[in-house]
Amino acid sequence: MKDVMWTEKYRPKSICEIIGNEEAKVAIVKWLKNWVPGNEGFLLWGPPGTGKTSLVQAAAHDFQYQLIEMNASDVRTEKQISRVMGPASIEGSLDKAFYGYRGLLLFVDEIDGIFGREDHGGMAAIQKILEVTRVPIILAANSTQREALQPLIHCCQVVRFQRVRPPVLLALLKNICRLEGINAEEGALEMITEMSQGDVRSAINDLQSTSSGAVTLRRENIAGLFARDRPANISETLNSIFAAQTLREAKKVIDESDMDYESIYQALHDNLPFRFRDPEALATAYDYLSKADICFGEIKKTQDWHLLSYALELMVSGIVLAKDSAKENNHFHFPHGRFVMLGRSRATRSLLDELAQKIGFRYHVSKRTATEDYLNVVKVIMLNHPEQKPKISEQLSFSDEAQSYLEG
Amino acid sequence: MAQENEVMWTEKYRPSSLDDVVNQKDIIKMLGALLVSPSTMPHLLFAGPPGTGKTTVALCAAQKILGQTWRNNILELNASDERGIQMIRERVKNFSRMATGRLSGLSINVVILDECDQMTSDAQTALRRIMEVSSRNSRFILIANYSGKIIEPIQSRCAIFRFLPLKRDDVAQYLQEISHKEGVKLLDDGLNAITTFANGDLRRAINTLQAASAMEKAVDERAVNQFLGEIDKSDIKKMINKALEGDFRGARETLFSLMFNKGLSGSEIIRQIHRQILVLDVPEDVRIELIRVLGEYDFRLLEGANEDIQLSAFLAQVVKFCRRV
Repeated sequence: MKDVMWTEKYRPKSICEIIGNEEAKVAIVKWLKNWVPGNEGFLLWGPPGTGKTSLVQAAAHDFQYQLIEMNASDVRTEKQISRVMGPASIEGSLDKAFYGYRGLLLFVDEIDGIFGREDHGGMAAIQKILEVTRVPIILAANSTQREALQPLIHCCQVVRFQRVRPPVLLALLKNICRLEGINAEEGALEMITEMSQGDVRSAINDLQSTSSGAVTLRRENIAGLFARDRPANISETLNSIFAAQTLREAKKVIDESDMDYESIYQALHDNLPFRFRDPEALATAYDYLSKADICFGEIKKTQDWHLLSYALELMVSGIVLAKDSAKENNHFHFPHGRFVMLGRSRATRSLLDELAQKIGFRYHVSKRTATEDYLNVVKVIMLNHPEQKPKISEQLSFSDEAQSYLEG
Repeated sequence: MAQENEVMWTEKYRPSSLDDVVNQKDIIKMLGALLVSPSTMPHLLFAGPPGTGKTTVALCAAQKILGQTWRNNILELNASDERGIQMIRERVKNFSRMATGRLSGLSINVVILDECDQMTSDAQTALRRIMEVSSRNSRFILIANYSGKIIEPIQSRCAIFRFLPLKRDDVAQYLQEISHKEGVKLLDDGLNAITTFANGDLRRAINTLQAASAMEKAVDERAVNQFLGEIDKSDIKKMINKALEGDFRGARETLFSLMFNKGLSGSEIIRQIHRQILVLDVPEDVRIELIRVLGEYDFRLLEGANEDIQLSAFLAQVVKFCRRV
């Protein structure tokens, strides 16, 4: 086993060994248990390295299916997809006993990778097979935002995979260190966890590469690793959008970027004020971003995906219009504003959330009304009438942290 | 419901039976007639502005339907807090199963779903199914600010009650009563300041009275404004001033801090900006123009997906005025 990559060595065999994403686990078990021909497919989506493939493999193992895996980057065109998937999907029940399995389970990974121009028809082929299949089919994608994916979403149960939370990931890394006999320096595993941004695969890879041959894992080894190249990509995308002379050019950048539009959208929001100094230009750029946001809002409400194209166009229109004004250099800010703030204030927000939840529950109001209408009143009472404090905390059962936050 | 021991006056003085509800006379009368036979009663939809007694009446109605054991047979959910329709479905389903077991001897339970107009139309469609499936055992009381945001099929399944904003005199009377019971000295100008600020929202009025009386012995206009100034925080003012000085990044930082640190919602921030603009030290034509822009972005905020983007965009429009002030 010595030469095996740790990501393989520690890949979970059974569903119960998978960390995080409890809801997805329950969903896949339910779906697979009840699956009969005619049922819808299963679409898992979420960031890379969060355990989508592992979950499918483990599910096949637990339910004794023979797993046929296809990586969509190998199988691309309509013809190839039909050729490979077609026969497997209509496999008869006769063979089951022979195989010693309950049957076949088809798994198509990275479906969001197959819809370039040259792969036209690939998606339609998958959709057709989903309709007639005699065996369960699971699809996986990093994002569901490509427009071409929308028809597939309608014939699948869609389940979202989240990034694995730091404490859960940390526990896994600690366990691997124990099994490998590695002594990790204080804080070293935390660094790896943080850098991975919830990507289990990259965290395990980092652990292996920084600790190979050593008995003690030092923090300085880890500092040498770079966070994976997520921002580089978006810089390129943003540069091209800001450089575009026409709407068509700008739209093309979005279409061809590896980034999902949501990330581009947020990055534009973050970077507009650094790009446009002139108030008129900034106002124009933001005006259109706001109009795009209205389309996104409408999509969210109605699931009317044909509006997406307007949203994407409006999102860059302001930049195209505002373009000849004074601009700063190509320096981008990642992550900026909101994210920095969100990171910094996580503890505060969780306290606020606790206060809002408890106040809301007791006084029959939403968390929002609790924050807006009650929080200040409670604060003022506690400040001016300290003798009321015990009664208040008893009635609302605030934690000590929340209590001291309220006191200032 | 009302408890002597309760700290917050909104709760302490919440009427515990329909007969104690002083306002909304017509609603109480009609509702009383329906409640005579709960098993044939339709679902209820209460629509109206905040602080007009919707939740109170819902709780009273539930109590009337369920009697002694009402606390065990009521499920109170807030649509703006729950994460999705899936969650609501699970909770309602489990609840109907648990609460209507033969053991309890009751044939009906009550689900109060607050802020329904915050639900997407998809979620409402799902809710409609839930209501149908569980209608034998469960009575739904839906509460919303705007009935227009509730999809037709749900509206048609409900008896709709429209709550009107409370009249100024009614609010005043209520406040005076509470002041009397709590031994608070409420002066005329203080009362006036509170009713003006509350604008028909009794919850807000009572909360303001309680806070002001906690700060000062006698509640006069100054005490009320002192507390309201506390809410307003100078942050909003700082944010607008930065924008008017042309410092967009600074203004946006403040905005993010208000939203993400202080937990203010977009609509609350708009409301406070509105109050600030009215007293801002700017030429009159700029003020009027700012109000127009704010109105437009208030609308966009309601329609849009990201409040921080809409409010940032608003600030970017304000920066345009930096040369005119």
